[in-house]
Amino acid sequence: MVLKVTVREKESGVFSLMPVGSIDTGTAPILEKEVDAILEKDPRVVIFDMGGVEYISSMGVRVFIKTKKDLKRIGGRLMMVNLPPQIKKVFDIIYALPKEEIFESIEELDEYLTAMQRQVLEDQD
Amino acid sequence: MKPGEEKKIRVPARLENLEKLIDFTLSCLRSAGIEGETASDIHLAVDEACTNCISYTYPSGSPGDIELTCTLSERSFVATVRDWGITFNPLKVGPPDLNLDIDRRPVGGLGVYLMKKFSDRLEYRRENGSNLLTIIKMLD
Repeated sequence: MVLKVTVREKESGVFSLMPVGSIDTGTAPILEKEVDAILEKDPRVVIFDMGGVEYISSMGVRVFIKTKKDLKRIGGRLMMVNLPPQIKKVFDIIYALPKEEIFESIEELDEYLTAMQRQVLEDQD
Repeated sequence: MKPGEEKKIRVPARLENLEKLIDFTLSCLRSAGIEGETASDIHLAVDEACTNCISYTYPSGSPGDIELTCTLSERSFVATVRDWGITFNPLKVGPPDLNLDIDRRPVGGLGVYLMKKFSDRLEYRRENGSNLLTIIKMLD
């Protein structure tokens, strides 16, 4: 199985990862390595755009659970967008992610991020 | 594959052989004309069963084989995972505590749970010094 991961910094502290392919025993370390590199940059938000994920096993799910734990420790948040039905089924079955962290589309997620940003600015005033 | 047909692969139980076992399963599914959600479910259940077997059944220093048999019948697809390692009945592994907040859950224990959820029936038996785990998925 093959996995390619594209990483982008959407804005300061907000990173998006787009894994394409299969997240399984063989490829989970590829994703984990990319996540670790982001975690070193003290992210506020890490977004996984899952639209290109064809398959995920428990070894893949572990990466997300670990990322969420690591982010919580530094006050960051994990979000997911574009989950294909079969991938969502796996996360649903193990209740791995609360609803407020899953978004149907990039547009919906961007709206949420903008609102979050506005809230931060208002809090600073 | 036609109903009644059986295909088998046997390889050393090492993680680098996991892909061979998965590719074998996917090729059986394709040739049986099984696709979509049913195929994905079987893929996941077999992956978790093989990963577990390879990870736990042979203590380090005493390697052995893993054998995967796929059987197609009119109404079901059956995958049987066999090894000759220590007795390990995954059906006796309790479910993970899903009520615990995700941050507090142990990272392991998910594989067996997913395998149970994604198959229609699981059977385990110890036979002539081997573990036999049978994954049954009904075909619509």
